Amino acid sequence: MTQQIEVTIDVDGATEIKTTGFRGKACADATRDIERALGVVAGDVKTGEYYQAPAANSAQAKS
Amino acid sequence: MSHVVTIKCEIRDLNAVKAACDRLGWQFVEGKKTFAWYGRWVNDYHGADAAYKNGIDPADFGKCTHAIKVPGARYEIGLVHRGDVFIPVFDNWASGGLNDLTAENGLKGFVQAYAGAVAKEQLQRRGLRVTETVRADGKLVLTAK
Repeated sequence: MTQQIEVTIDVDGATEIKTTGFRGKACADATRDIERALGVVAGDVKTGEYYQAPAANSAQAKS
Repeated sequence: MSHVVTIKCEIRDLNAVKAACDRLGWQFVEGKKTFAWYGRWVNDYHGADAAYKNGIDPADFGKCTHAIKVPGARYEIGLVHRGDVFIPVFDNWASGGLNDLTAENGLKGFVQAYAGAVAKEQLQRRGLRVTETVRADGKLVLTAK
């Protein structure tokens, strides 16, 4: 799944940031700077993908 | 989805303030230390967003760090620096022309435009391609891949 960050800003400035396609804590890393630049985090909900292990790189050396 | 965060916006970035003013057709006056208002506190506004309830001493009304001129208004918005944030302060008396700016409408779109500028800059800094849309409900949506 393609990694995507969606930022939705209401007319009063209340902002929601959604990430999709990230596994494990990579989503939190992807949005941390944006959150800090915008203001104060009022809520944080982690979904299923957050608790999945990051995809492992696989490279097999053939003997 | 993997992560959903909700954020209360705080105004900190003057470049984003300038971008928001440009988007709205407002004039950012950097370094202007006073903003136009009635000139005398009459203690007649007591809403939750009243300046005196939010850390602004009435003795300091009219003073600011930077100012914003809104087309068609006699009064101005003052940006008062407190810690690392700027607090917008203004007189909402009807004859001053700013009475339609409210917390609920984000000062008629200023806070939304500010947050949009901050988010866009942060997303582009990560090398992402950003598209912007405004939904029918008025929400600004930035999508980055």
